[in-house]
Amino acid sequence: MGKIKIKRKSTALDMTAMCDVAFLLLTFFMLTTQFRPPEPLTVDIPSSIVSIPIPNKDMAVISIGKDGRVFLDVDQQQVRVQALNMMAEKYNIKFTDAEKVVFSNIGPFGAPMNNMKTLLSADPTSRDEIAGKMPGIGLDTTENFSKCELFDWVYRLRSVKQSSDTKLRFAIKGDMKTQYPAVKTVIAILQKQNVNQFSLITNLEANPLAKK
Amino acid sequence: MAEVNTGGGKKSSPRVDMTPMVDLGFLLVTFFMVTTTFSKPMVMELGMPDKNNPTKDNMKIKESRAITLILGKENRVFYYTGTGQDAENTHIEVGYFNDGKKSIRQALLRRKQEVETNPNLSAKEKSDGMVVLIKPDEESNYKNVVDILDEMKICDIHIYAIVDISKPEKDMIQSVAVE
Repeated sequence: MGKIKIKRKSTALDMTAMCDVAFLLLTFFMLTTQFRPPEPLTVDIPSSIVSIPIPNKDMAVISIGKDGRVFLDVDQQQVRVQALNMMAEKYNIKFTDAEKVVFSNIGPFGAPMNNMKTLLSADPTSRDEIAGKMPGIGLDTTENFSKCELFDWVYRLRSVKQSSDTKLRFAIKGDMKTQYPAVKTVIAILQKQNVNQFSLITNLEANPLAKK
Repeated sequence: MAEVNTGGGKKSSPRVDMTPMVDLGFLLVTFFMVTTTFSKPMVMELGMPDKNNPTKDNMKIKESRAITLILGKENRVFYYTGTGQDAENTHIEVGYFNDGKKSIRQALLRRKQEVETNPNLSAKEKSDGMVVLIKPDEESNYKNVVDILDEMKICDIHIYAIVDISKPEKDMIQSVAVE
């Protein structure tokens, strides 16, 4: 008869320990998760065997989509706003303070200067959609890049950072299907102003020769 | 006073049924595990020669140390030994980015071996290894460029440069592509 009693007891498990573990893990993942910021331009990056993680600071990332559109992203908000001020001066566009705040938080942008106001003054709910439809930063290659907006952006970002101790590094984040001429143009723009060292953003992949 | 009536249940009350709580906990754990981005992107450093000051990085390359790779369309790599000074006499071959017989990696490793055992080269030239010229055609894509730079890393080749493709080379790969 004692056996029957034991069987009855065992149906209710003590869940406390399991619960503890579950919530410990939950807390860990909640704290370590960094949500991926919204990306207006989807870029499917190629992989390589290099294993140098991307630096967190002082990076300017030039994304090139598979349709050849070019988006730019700079992490430091101050640098962004200062560069925007300088661009506004050159292109004779006045931005309000509210628009500048929006710009400092917007992430990658691909708006040509004449469309920038549309993007920054857009309603927050539809801004992501508008940002994704932007035609990309202008890449006019004529006359020594004198009308090229990307050239101007790069130039101004660098001049903003010139006074500070740390240098801005430029990285190219290209889609696997991007045609080479678009990449070549971007590299030419960087080289034109003596940026000869830059990074290509890739995913990690195993070295096929390492096994041997 | 109804509580007093169910006084028998008072003893079992410190045991709370935790099952739904655990369920919820694991659901959330799964969610955060899936959304956590483990793969942080990596960066491949690329240095280009100074274009505004072309004499600085300029170097004469011996034909016997060089190999030229032309990235064409449909993930094809056309390669020939030398730098293509003598366009008529260069024998062009096709390689691919796979692990098969015609993989570009095998071709690179073969050529590397050739250069390292070439008796006509000085010790320094041998230890520096071969020189690779990478010429992406307009029809190649960014993945090909990254892949070939990756091959440089995999095959442990230290001297390489991305160079513009020339007109005779375009014609050459056209004629090969037709075959």
